[in-house]
Amino acid sequence: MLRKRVLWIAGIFIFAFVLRFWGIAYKWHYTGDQETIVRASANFLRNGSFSPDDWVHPPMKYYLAEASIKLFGHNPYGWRMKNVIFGSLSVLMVYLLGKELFRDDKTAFAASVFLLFEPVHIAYSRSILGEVPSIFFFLGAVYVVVVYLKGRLRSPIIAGFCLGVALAIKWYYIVPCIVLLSYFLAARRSAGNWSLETVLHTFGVFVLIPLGIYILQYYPWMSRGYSLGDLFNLQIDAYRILQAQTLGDFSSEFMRHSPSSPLQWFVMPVVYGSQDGVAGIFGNFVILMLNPMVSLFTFPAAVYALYRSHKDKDASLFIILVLFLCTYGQFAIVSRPLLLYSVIPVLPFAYLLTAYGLTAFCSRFRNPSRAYKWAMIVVIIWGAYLYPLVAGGYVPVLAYRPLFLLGRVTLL
Amino acid sequence: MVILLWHAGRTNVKTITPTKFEVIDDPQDAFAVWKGAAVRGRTLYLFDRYLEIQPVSHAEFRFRPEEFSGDLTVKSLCSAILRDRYKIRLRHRECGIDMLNEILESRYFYAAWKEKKSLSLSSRAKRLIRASRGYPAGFRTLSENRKKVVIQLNRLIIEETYPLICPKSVKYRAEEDNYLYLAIYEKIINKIYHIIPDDAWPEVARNLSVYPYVYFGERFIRMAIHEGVPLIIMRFSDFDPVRDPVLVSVASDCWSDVEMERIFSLLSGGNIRSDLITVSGRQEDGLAGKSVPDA
Repeated sequence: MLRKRVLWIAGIFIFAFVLRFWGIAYKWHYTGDQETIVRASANFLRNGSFSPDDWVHPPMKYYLAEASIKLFGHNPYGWRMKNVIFGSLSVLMVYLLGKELFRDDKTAFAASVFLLFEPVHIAYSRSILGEVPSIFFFLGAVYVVVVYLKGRLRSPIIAGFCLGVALAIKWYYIVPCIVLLSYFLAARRSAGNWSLETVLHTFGVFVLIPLGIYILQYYPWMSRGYSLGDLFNLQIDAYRILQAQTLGDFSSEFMRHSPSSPLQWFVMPVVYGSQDGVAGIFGNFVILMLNPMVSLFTFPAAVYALYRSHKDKDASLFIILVLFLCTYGQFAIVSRPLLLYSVIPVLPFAYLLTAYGLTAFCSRFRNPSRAYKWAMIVVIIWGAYLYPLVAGGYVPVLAYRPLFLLGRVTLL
Repeated sequence: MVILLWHAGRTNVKTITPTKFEVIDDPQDAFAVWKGAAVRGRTLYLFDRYLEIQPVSHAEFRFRPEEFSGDLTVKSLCSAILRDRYKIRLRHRECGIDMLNEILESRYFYAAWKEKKSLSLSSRAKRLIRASRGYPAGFRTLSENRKKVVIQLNRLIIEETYPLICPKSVKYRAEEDNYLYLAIYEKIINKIYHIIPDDAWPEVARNLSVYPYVYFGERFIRMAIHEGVPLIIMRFSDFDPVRDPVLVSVASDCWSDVEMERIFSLLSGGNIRSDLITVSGRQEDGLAGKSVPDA
């Protein structure tokens, strides 16, 4: 049983890794934001300076980028491998979390397959952006909390470190952190485990450790002569600037014209891109898209999950639903434009819900296992169809024209 | 952790004794004074009507005749490059500045150089090689930024290959529109208080009101600029000095005699603690001989 579980885990990780690793060094030069972040990483760690990157985002991504370059070299592997690894581990994390929260393996497996083949997650697992590592760390925190509450860990302290790193990459984990803390406190209280020691321990794990990591990451910057008060003011100034951002602030014309409204993410097909190269009837593309076969079922699945979590008093389902609503909700209500890569932290929770909905739907068939199997075969075939397009491989253009019609893809 | 961070912030701020008082020709000359004094992590009080902080270096990597002097001559550099017979096509046949600058614009120079030389280039050059790898072939079709990368790369290659006969390019040149940006980049300045004449306030407030990230306090305007450096703009009549030792730069052309006297009395009375004061403009002679206490 254990051997089978280990094989499943290894298989999911290896498959996710291969899909994300294949061809990452095809462009043996900087792409996207890589040059900016690579240069800023070296500059920040040596001089406490954010240049040439924007100073408005926290600097943890520079530490991760430098670590990757030290491990894999100052080359496309070094620039991109951290996202390949964290992206692959995120797929595994979704599987493990699903297994802990839901009673059957099917939901966990389906959710991990959805993320495994998710085009936007694959695309950014081959880049340098901080969204991919950040969701891995947050998922890690959720997983540690769940396992701890089940009594299989002595302390959730690792969750504190994971939350600290996630927050130190992206601020938008603040609300999900509060949700996770609330879930933790509610679970401890209902288990009758409520003492001063518990409260202090909880405060240490969920507040002190993340806050400490967040502040410590600015050490190189503070070495320029800034105080803690200056650091606090820097956060206020950064928040003001981020709230005032418009599409015109993004330097790439390709990104400026990309989908920028979170309200579109789960209600319509989101397909955007442009052709990069031509070779006869084949072409390769830069594509940003959500998998419509999965994403369009997220909201119906969320409604179903809300109904079931209320009817069955299912706390596990409820926490996933709330995490989805709070990660997605904060993007949906914010006034500034958000490009498609901002959907990445929402996807694990969205796809756990969608997978839950799928297994519930399959259970209505006379042969639920067969229905589930066929559903997964269709998902995998569709994912295999999308993969070469998303990974930048040369594909027959005609075979993908129907997909391009769903969105905006510019052909050469 | 708190102690560690407090220590990180404090130990880099060192003051100069005795207090230095420098009269300069133009406001941007203050940058050279600060750099020469090796000050770091300082707050600047800028007494000036205007403030321009462009994130530009004004570095010029094309060869200029004035760079060649003494033992450095255009002819010797040109001849050395021609002797190495790099496989690049040049329009200019005669040894001169034009030929050198044409080499700088060649997209194929690095490849041709690699065939002939096996020198290990600096990390700066390697970074530019990496950056330029995906560029298309023609120089003229490149964007302005990419052209600068190619020119800078080729210039570095030539400097590192012929170190004794090629003048060194400078990383940046301080001008009025960028000297404060350079001071931030060089970690000289961490915070700027821009003190403006009272009559300039309405225009400044009007110009900045279009930016939603600018904060309008009761007696000041606050925003963050490059590297997150706080910029606090105040009217001279509202000016309230901080206790820490600061750099002071005064553009005396913007101030009346009475206001200059007041600035100086704030300095000499110790209300503004400063260890390095630069003054530019018409009134600098009047301040010569006056003394300020050590910060």
